Formats: sequence, C-alpha cells, structure tokens
Amino acid sequence: MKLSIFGLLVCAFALLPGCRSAKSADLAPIDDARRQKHVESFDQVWTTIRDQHWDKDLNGVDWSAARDELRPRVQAAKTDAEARAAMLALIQRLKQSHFGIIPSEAYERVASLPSGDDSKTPGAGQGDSGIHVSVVDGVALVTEVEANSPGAAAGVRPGWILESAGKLEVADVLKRVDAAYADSSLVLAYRKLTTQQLLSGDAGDTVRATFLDGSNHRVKKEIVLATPQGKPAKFGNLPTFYLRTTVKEVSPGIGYIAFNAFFDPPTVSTAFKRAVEQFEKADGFIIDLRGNPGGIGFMANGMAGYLVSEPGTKLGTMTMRSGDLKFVINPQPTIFKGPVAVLIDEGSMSTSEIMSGGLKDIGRARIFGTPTPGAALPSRIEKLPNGDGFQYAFANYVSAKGDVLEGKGVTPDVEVKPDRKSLLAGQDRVIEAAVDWIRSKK
Amino acid sequence: MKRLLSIAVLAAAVVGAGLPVVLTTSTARADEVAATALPAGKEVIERFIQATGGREAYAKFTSRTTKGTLDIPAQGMKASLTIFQLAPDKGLVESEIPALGVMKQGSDGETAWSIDPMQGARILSGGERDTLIRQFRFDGDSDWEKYYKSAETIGVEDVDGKPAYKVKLTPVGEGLADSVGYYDKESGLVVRMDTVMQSPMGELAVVSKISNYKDFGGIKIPTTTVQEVAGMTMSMTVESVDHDTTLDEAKFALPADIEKLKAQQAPAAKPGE
Repeated sequence: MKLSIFGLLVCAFALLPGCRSAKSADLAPIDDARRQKHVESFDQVWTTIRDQHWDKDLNGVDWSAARDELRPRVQAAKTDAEARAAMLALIQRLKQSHFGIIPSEAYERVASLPSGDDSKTPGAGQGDSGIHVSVVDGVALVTEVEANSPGAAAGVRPGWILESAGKLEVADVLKRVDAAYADSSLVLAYRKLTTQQLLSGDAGDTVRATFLDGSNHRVKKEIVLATPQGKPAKFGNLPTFYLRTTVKEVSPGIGYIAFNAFFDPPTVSTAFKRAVEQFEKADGFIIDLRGNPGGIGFMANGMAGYLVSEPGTKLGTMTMRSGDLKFVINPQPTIFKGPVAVLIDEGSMSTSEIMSGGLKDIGRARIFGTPTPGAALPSRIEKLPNGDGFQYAFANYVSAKGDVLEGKGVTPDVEVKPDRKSLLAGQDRVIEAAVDWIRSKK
Repeated sequence: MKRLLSIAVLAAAVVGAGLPVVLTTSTARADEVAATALPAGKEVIERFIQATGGREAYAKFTSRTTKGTLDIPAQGMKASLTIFQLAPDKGLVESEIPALGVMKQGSDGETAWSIDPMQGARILSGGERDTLIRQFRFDGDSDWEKYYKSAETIGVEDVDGKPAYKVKLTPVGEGLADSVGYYDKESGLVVRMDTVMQSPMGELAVVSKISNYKDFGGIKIPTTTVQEVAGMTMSMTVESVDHDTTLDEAKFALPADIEKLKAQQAPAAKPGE
C-alpha cells in the first residue's frame, strides 16, 4: 500500500491514438474567455515543469526565454489548436518523453461512452480496428488481428502489409515521422503508433484501407471501427483505456501471459498472480509486453515479486528532486523459479521497459524481440484550466545496472523481428524463439 | 500527539508517511526567539493533550473506527478510507481507490503488514514496522514519553499566518528519524507535522497541515489533513469517528498470504529443536 497512492504513471499516454486531437473542433474560432483559459493553462504548464522537473536545469533549456517567446502565441491564438501548439512547443523544448497535452475532446469522447464491459456500441467514443501493425524493414506489417474485431470481420490477416488508409500513404507518413524524429529513439515508437493511428477514429467510422495480401495482391478493405475490445479502465485523469489480458499454455509445459497495459491492478496484477500460481511448476514462463505502452510504474516491481525470491532486489531507481525511490521487489508467497522470457518491441514503453530492463539487469529473464524506444520517465497527468490533460515527467529512471533508460531503451538478448512469411503461416517467431530457449534450459 | 499520528495523519497510514524527520528551518521566522525563552517541549505536548481532551478522555476508549476520504485532486483520484483500532495496539487500515483496488495495512500488535493488488503481500520490518504499530497504539498520547525519548522546542514559526511552537520529537528506537510538530501558540493544537515517509523504496519528506478539529466523544480530532509529498498534494478528510465499536479480535488476524510469507521467512529450526 505504501507509496502506491502516488499512482506513479509511467505511460507515454499522450502519444497514443486515444489522445489524438479532435478532427475539427479545435480549429474553430475561440473567444476571449477561452483564450484566457489557454493562457492560464500555459502558465500552469510552465510553472509545473519549472517546479517539478527532476532536473533543476531543465535539460539545459532557457525556460524563461521559452515562456517569453511562446506565451504571446497563446495570447494571440485564434483556435484551440493554435493555443495547444504553443503549449506543445514549450514542452517539446525539453526533448524528453512523457510530456504532452491531451485535448479535452479526448475526455469528452470517452465521457459519452456507456460504462461496463459491454460498451461496444458503434457511433460514440474512440474506435479501434483490432489490427496491430509493426513497421518492419520500412513496411507496416500486420502482426495481429484480434478475434471478433472489425479487422477480422473485414478479412484482414496477419502478414499483410498496410499500404494506405484514407488518403494517406503509409510510405509518406513514415517519411514524415522519420524526418520529425530523426535524432530521437522515439522514432521507433512513433513509426508504430502513427501507422496504427491510421486505422483508428471514432467508433462507427469507416476506414478505407489498402493492403498487400499474402499473395501480394492489392486488396481494399472497408473497416467499420468499434469500441476497443477489452475491459474499460480509468485511472485518475487519463482517458479510458481498454485492457486485454491473455493467459494460456502457449506450448506444452510453458505458461504465457500478455497484457496491453499496466493499469487496473485488481485485474492485471491479479491475472499475473494467478498465472504464476497456475504455471508455478511449468518448464518456463513467457511475459509478452509487445505493444504495451506502460501504465502504473509500481506494477512492474509488484509483478517481479512473483519471479524473484531474493529480498531487497530492485528493478531500478526513480530520481526526483525530493529524493530517490527504489523499485524494490517484494518476494511473494508463490514464486515462479523457472526460466522467464520477456517479449518486447518498439511499442513496449515506460513500465514495460522498466520491467523488461530490470529483469534483464538482475539476470532473471531473457529478453526476446526488437529494441524498445526508451520512453521511461515516471509521469503524472493533471487537468488544466482549459480542460486539457497535461502529462509531465517528474522523475528520471535508472535501471538496476545504472543505465538511464530514457532515449536508450531496452535491447533484447535475442533480437527477433516479426517475419511476414511466418505471420502468414500463423506463426509467431518471437514466441517460438522464447519457447526454444526455454526448451533448451530443461 | 501520538493520536495525531494515528488519526489526524490518517493519510499517512495510507501513503505510509510514518517516520518523522527534522526538516531544515529555512522558512523560520526572523524573529524566532531564543530557545531559552521557549516553553519546554514536554510542556507544549502536555498542553496539547489537555487541549484535545486530556488523559482521562483518551483513556476512556478501547476501540475506534474512523472513516474518511483521501483526495488527490490534481490527479483526479479519490479513495475511501477506514481505520479500525483495538487497544492496546491492533490496527487495520482499509482504503479503496477506484482502478487501484482495495489496499490494506495492519498489525496484530506483533507483525505489521501491507497487502494490495499492485504490490502484493509484504511484512514490514525495522522502523517501518515500529512506526505502524506505534500509530495503532492507544496509549500513544497519554504515555507519549514511552515512545519519544525527547521533545525539544526549537523555535516559533508561523503556520498559515499564526505563530506555532516547533517541537523536535525524537522517537525511541534505532533508525527512526525525528519529526517536527508545530503547536499553535494560542490553542495548543498541532497544526503541522513534518515527517518522512520511509520504506524499502526509500524516504520522502512529508509536510502535513492539520486543521478543522472536531469533538468526538470528548476528544478533539482534526478532520482535515493536507499533505505535500514529492510535489503532490493529498487531502484527507475524517467523516466519522466511532469509539468503543464492537471489533472482533479476528478482524486483526494476519491474512493468509502474510501467514505464508511469515512461515517462509521464519528461520529454519535447528535439528533437535
């Protein structure tokens, strides 16, 4: 219980499709009262970062000069979009992850959703295709199509290549992403997230997308988006997130768990605990964090307590202005003691990096997949006077071996890229590599 | 004073504020008077005990149920909070935060523990254990000298515009940090406590502003505590305090996972034992 109340958020939520800006509302003219709310919000953002950033030097940025330059732009803003752009310009001076603005429209959309597990009514709130893509060797490869999803209904299959969505060509989008983030490790994440975003919209929207199928034929699909599958979860000032957890015996004698975010501990942490109890005597255990953008940081060391029996072991350290907090592992009554494999990719961020990097550093897990982007700053989200959410990092994170994860990420022990041929054959090379390794340890 | 650690700083029980610390006095008033002119720490604390009801009132009860809420407005979070206490030293804190689940922290007077969905089960040790058990004790106020080896008045400082005596409290025991209590000169009530949150994860300074004292069964208990921790503000509100409620000893029994951990952590018996 101790410290958990901090709700330590280590999720690059502002990067995610659910937090995209409104399509047209933020381009409408604003009045003086609304503009004043934006000015107050700008001031709150500027002051919060000045007072809460773990580095008093603010990464070397002349913070007062940045305010003097950008505040007039907010004062002169004619639209919400212009005001937000100035605020974003301010926080982007830091060149760090976990600083972002979540438009108030993102909250309004989810507020209109029905609550409960059956909230899949098209026509309201965020919409999802159920199609997961990774950018591999310059193309957007479909790595997963969720069962019973709009993508599955449209007949899209893993191994297909997404070429375009709406009027946007994937190749052009990727060029722009690469140009914008040429000097940042976050380019890995943005390639994936931006491509994924091409297939998102509001529930009920139709996305017209072009794919190359398994025979390299160009096929056009109309995908009617629906509310994301999974359990709706709320955490503080975050918009609703949809949790999906999978526990199975992925191969005889080998346990497997996948979850798409570190939220809702009663659901996700409890599922992890039960999976460990279920597979306590298994030959190996696989934790699939691919595409998991993070969430509540202290869930990582909580879960590690089911894998590590040595008291006092830590995954890493969070450094704040007010002191350091160690991600100490508390060994639990039931501990899995066999080989552990963790799967990662460019969509594994924040808490996923803390967990995979920490388990790697202490020698408790072997890591499979592709490098993570290095977006691992502990952050919080506050509401601004204009109704937007403001995500800001208040701490740095250093791994158990003393490495700063931000901007560097986690490098897998065994690099395995998704492979089109295998995906088309219904295989997952990353899981297979982990299974082979576990078999070799028997 | 101890009752403030166990009731007024209810939020501390949730966030584990626990151990006290001496903060620097950089914000002290320029007219801070010399220590020789100040009342003794013991005198300040005795006045506080009288101001909140006196030893007789404190000794009247053997059980207590306190209910309240914990708000973190900037984060859009609100938790319910219930504390059960049974004399002499048993306690259980239950809080429920939407999306985080039910968090519990308790003691049977010997073993102090915490359990929640995120961090799992944990047996507290060292100063963390001692502090929690001390917070649950019923004689913490009336027998405060049993738990603090010294109380030294170190100055006067304004708290929200009113002068208060600053008293450095040094607890009995190894590894426990000092705390500083601020006692309103006029009313004698504690209006601020500077402590440190201590756990295996590390230490964080906690500043608690304490106000809105109300009478519950002859004891004045503050119903508002606003804490500043690591740049975040939390507000705890006491909604009800019921004395001498029926509390079964079984309520304070160790949870099954804690019993398992205790058994695993117990040193193996030597042959022949």
